[in-house]
Amino acid sequence: MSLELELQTLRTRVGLVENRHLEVFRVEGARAFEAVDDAVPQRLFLQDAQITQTLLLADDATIVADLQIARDDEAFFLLCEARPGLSAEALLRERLGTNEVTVQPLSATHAVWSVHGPWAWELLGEALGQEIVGQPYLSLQHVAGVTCFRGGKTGEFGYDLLVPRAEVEPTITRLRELGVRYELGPLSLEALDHAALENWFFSVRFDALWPYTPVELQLQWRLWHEKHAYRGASAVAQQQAGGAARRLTVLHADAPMVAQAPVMLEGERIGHVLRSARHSLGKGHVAWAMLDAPVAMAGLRVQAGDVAARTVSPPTVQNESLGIDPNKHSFRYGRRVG
Amino acid sequence: MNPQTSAYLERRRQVLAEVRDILITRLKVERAPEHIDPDAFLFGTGLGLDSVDAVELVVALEQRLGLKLPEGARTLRSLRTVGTVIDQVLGVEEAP
Amino acid sequence: MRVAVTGLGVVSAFGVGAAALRLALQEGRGGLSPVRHFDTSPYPSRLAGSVPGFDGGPQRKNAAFEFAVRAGTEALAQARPRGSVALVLGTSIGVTDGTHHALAERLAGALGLTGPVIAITTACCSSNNALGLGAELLEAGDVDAVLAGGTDQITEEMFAGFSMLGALSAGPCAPFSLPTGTTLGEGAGFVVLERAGEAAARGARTLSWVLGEALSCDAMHEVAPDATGRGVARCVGSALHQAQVAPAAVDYVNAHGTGTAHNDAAEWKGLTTALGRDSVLVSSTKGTLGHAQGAAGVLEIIASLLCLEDGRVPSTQNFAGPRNRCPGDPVGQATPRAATVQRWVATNSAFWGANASLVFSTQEVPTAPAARVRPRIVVAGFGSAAGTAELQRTLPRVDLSALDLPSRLVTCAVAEALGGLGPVVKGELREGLGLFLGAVAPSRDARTRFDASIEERGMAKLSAEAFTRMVTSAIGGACARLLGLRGPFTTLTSGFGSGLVALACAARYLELHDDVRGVVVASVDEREEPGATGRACAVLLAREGALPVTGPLLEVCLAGAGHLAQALAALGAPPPASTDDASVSGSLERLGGVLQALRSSGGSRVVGQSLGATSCAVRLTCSPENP
Repeated sequence: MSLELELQTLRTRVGLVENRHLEVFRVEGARAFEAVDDAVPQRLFLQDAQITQTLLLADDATIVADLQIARDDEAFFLLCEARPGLSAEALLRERLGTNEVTVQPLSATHAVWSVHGPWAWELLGEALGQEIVGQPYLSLQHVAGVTCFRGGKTGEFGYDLLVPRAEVEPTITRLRELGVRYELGPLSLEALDHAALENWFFSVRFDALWPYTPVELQLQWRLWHEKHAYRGASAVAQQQAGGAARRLTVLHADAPMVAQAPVMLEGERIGHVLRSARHSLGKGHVAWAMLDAPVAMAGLRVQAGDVAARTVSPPTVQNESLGIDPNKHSFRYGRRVG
Repeated sequence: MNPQTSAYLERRRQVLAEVRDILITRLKVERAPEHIDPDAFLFGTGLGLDSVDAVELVVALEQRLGLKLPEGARTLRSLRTVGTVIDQVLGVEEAP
Repeated sequence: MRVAVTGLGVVSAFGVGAAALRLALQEGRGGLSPVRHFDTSPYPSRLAGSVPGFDGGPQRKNAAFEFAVRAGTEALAQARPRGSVALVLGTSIGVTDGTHHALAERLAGALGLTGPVIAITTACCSSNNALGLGAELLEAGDVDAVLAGGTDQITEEMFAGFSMLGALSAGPCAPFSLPTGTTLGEGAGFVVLERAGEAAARGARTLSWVLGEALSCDAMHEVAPDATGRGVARCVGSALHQAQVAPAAVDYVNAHGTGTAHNDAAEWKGLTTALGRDSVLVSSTKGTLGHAQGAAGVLEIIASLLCLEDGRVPSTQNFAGPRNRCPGDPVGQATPRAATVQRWVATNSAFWGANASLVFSTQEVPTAPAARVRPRIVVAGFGSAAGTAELQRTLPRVDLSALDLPSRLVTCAVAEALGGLGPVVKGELREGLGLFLGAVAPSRDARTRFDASIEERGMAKLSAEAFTRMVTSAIGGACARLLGLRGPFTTLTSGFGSGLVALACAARYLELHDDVRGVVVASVDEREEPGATGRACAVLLAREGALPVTGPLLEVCLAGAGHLAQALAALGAPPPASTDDASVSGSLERLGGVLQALRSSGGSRVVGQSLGATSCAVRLTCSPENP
């Protein structure tokens, strides 16, 4: 299936994908909180079933993994996407230590299937139970034998289902059967990353971002300033104290922009393009660029290589999901938005 | 740099400072101003505000900057990040 | 529990008296009309369930009191209870004229009641909560009869607060239907409760029987309910358990059904979970009466009682087809519907995740066969906090940053009292541990911010965030949420005696609910002067053997104003020399001193207090096995 079709599915209906790149670990033990808290840069004040988003850093504060932490009573689920070529398990074990907690990788016993799109909630509500519909953003829920994490990095409703291997076949078959009513389609990792770019979600697979830090990538919200013990903390603190010289900024243009192309403002070079993509709803082209901090702001006319572009405030998609009220709307019964 | 461009950037920096201050003093975002990324998401993810805070943000902005945001700007659709809030205040064209 | 309802009185959108309400319900009339005592043009709704005849003037200012006097008088006249009658009053934010306990004491005086006077404020489930506590005091033998109920009035502040929260419906409130949103209401309702056997013996006419009651806390969010409905399910489940009524035997549920998107779906999920089935006869009278806040629960119970007397259940008015994740047929019609109902449930939910449920029977139920042995309660922990500085250091793993001062103080004291159980309660313990708070007013910070927002931006744009903290239960709510206390949750206010009264009520709750392991009782004082600090104390009570921590045995006795000697005598102690202490947390603080003394000397000590309209005596005993 073409990327275009997948993005159509993702932006207007529901898509399903086995999410092999997302590795799930369960951390248990009397000192699970302390172990996880000491290992990660984000503060860990989570209510039961809440999820927080953070990162794992190298000593120079570059990003080695994208990490979500979900509290499940006294234990934690860690949903980790490591930079390609790195082992999520090794990164976590190294940071958690193993003295007082058990770190259980769940990939041997479970698969992760993800459901994304403006009507994902309705399909899952029908397939797994209506409690899915009321599930808050960034929370987990145990329902119908699976653990459902609501999050997603596409701007649409997104759910990662942790399914025991033995239950995968019946669960996915049921989703596909019921999915016919929702015009359920397959998704690829490429489509998810494309949507992430448009919707201003970091992806650890964007190799052009690897040389940069959370301060430059506008990911300071995934860190907590009162934490000093995690790996990379001193490099972060140093950069925050001095102020970053450059900052990730989003460009929009009618024509395609090219990675590495210089970005010029009134004839002066202010940075370069990191990654570019065609807008999935046919609205031109979107790029992420690293610009000099003083001019890294939306609302400027610039040149990205040969292309006239403007700096914009992300996200660059007005997601259909934002307009959906599950109390009123329904794909199945034809009560669409608008 | 074109003086118009410098003036725009200066104005944008001022509004960013106001929005950061509102987030810290009115909405209990426990971060230093410079740790609030200019394009950080406001609701759910990012700074983690909720719908109660959305109303507070709009009211505080209008009061602080002495302006009235257009009706369409009051929804979560237009207040997604710190940057989109600034766009609303400055009347900057939105992303597609 | 076998408690008889022997009288009722009501002031509602249909005027004064039960007869007016009964007739309106029978005729299928709606009670929502345009508000007249302030200008509603800045708000999305003009409607409310206002009490007719209270549109303006001095009567409006004290409307909650005026409603309560009329409803209380009607209930007492019908029941004519004997002996000393306690008052348990639930009320919420509509009462701006002084504190809640001052209103309760004035009401007790006006009605000539001589028993203990307790005010409860758990926002929208206050009055339901009040009926439950009243039933407990009877079951425990503390009082002869109880006048229990609630009162609240619509104020523009309340209207603006709900408007800024986005919770007001543009049309008349349509529970479980569309559009979403609620419509406010007001009024008062009271019932007279007596022990069933005594009511029968004196020949009183019993209107209904209370079989069970329970409280719980979602401990999730300041206004949004737990979407999984677990808090509601736990509350209804606990009340049914106490009532010894099987979920399958429930014939009808009078739901909270506010009409908001969040409440209705979460509540329905909770109800179906608790009852173990996908459908039950259910309705909400919010479409008829509006959401009367502190009086909502009791108004709805009275509406149900009046309909059930005619063999019907109240309807859900303004129903225009079911909403997603809501019951398909919540009696969506104008008039009550004929139904055979024997056991039924009334439930309410509130800001800060408070839930309160009651189980009723339309028919007399034989007394439970096995004579209950009253379980022993132990004092298993004590904590205190003072000042403002360094509080975070005492709880490095808990986020105190967003809390106002009294919440911070309470949280630190409670965490210390939990001691060996860990500051943040984990695992199954969460469901089994509750919080009873004694406090007299919302936080100073909430009031300051609330007033400042009105001053700066005008009433219609007041701060919704501060509004959610203008309910006194916010202080404990923030603590319960942070520390994971999902068991019974309430806020009691009895003036300076609030701490000890909360302790006595928590002990009664524990004695009567064997599915709860412990309750932390806390009290807090906040100094009024700017820049000043405050103090909080907390005591962990546990059913003996239910927690891995223990301590001295606790016995309590409650009595009316000026009857401290009587309360002390009940515990075998001599009359007191002096017991005054002009602070809310003083009584619990003194208890802390006694605990310490007992630890070194052993033996038994009694603490008594008579402040405000309630006397309370407490005895602590170190037994050899509980050093």
